[in-house]
Amino acid sequence: MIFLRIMKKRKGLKMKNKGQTGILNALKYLLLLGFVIGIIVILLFPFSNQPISMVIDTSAGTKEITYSSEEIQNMHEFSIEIPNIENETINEIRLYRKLNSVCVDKLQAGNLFLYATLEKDKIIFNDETCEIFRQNSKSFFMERLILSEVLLIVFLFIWILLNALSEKIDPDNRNNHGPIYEIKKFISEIKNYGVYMVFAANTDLKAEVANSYLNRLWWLLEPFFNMLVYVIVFGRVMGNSIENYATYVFSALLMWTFFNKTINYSVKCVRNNRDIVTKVYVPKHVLLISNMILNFFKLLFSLIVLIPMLIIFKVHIGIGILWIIPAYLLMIILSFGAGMIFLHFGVYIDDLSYAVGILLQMLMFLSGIFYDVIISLPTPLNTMMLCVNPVAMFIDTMRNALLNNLVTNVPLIVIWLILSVLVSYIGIHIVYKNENGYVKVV
Amino acid sequence: MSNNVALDVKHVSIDYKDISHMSLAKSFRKGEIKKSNIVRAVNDISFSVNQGEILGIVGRNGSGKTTLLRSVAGIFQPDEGTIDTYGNRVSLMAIGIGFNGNNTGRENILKSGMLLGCKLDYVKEHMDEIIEFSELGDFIDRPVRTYSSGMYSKLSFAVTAILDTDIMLVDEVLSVGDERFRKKSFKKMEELMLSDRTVLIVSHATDTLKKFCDKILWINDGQFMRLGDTEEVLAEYDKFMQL
Repeated sequence: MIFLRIMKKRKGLKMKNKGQTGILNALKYLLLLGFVIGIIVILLFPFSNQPISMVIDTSAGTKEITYSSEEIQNMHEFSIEIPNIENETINEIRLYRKLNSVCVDKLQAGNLFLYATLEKDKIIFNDETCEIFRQNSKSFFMERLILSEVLLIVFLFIWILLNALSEKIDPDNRNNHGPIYEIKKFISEIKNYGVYMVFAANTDLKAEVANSYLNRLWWLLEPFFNMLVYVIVFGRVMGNSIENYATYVFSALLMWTFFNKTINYSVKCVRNNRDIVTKVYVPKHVLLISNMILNFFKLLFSLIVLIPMLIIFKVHIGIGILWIIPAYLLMIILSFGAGMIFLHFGVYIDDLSYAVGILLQMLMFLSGIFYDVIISLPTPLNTMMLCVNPVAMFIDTMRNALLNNLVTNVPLIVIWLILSVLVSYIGIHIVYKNENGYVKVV
Repeated sequence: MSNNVALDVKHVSIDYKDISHMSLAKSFRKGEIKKSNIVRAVNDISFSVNQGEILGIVGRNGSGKTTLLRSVAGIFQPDEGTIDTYGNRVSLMAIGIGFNGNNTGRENILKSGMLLGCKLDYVKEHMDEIIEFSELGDFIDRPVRTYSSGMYSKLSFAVTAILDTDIMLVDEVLSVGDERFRKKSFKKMEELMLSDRTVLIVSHATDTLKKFCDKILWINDGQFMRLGDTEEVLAEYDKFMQL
């Protein structure tokens, strides 16, 4: 009996949908096809070799020279004249392609003798450097990846737009999971629960230290001693060629800790809040955002430790430091979006927290917290990592802005900001669609 | 007593899918999820409650009473059918919503109150009332984990009793604390129920139901059995429950 009724209902729904949204469904298939074809075209299209610009960053200033692809093909030992170069210190030499904010390769100052010799008023680059030029000119990997990401954005955007359209066309459809409805719901819930989220974060923070001896001082002490460890271990014990290595690692770890904690929490979010979830209706993102606010409080305390570090190690700070804001913004939105998706799967899958733990551990070492992605990885791999791994990218961007006063990775930041907003929407959509079942499971 | 309908439940059915707690390995074998047996906890139940009315829900253990209440409270949507609360605020009376043992009683009252859908200022206004009702005295500023279990229940009962909503759903929470507090909470419940408030009670205590309820809904294994006058339905229910 019951079974029959369910069948009947399903059939009825299908018929209705077919009549009213058939065209939209067809459009979706077409879109999917277009996306696949687009990706194939982007991956296989024979792009021509690219010109390379070289930026020599010295203590006296920077000098930029561009070489066309033909020049690079027949390149042999060459020299660049910079007055008084032998008395300057060279910080680093960066190579760029057309996108003049995404660095494709770096010649490290410490290893400069491998690539060039200094003479009076000029640098002579050897054949090794020419080989690096040729490699970077030939590989079109990065642009292909960036174009694919742009295509992905367009695809997702149109897909959501089509869903919104079908929601508009069929307003009496009882399936209230269209984008317009969900986004409205999300915004109104954020407004309604805003006070609660901050309050809950605040009380949780108090609860964490309520019975400890040093109380709130821990929020400062923990990052401070962390920092001390990095200064001693990486600065003294394991001598490293990167300048200001302690600051370099510490600033990256702050971001990583936030990301790591948020994702780890999101997996167990619903289960940890079983008491709440089974007794009242709470939008699940409220629980996640409340935890993110808590993590952000702690991050701010760590930033207090970072500031004296910048002063002690005499980091030159300029207006470029403002570029850390989009990097942090990306970190927050991305961890929210990914967190919402993990939150959903974490409810149903028991051992996901172990798997996520391992994945995060791997991601940590792939994201260049302890090293520079561009220098340490071989040539096509380093830019790939920067394009594909947003964590590596926002860390690299933040460090360049903070320590070198450089605005870098502009197109990548923009792409990933849009992508992470879309991912957040997808996460919200999944959770709204399934949250009915959560109470029955936990 | 006005005759406005406060709550309307129409043909509500709720399924439980037996997919709880999978491991990663299981989730890759997709067949198992699809075959998972669906259990119908509540099947095609309809009733409506007028404003100011008190409805008792009876039934054997596991017959879907709590599930129905949770659904009315909006914790999850029914799989079929509709629940219309006509804009009334609904709250499920439950013990210790969102309590954190390391926070003080005061902080927990605020947090719990906000989760029940009250504004921060509103909870603050009623703070003294709650503290007085809970009889905790100085303990209110100590961490909740230091409370005895009786004190804990007293506090959480006080929160839900004072911060009342338009429609109250009560799920067997009348036996809280010591004899004195029980009498007090019983009195409070009486007071609440005699005021113009809509209440749904789930209980096995027929005495309590006889005292308060205007009508009784009887469900058995998720199926609708009877809805009607308190005395009649309870008499039939008692007969049914005899061995």
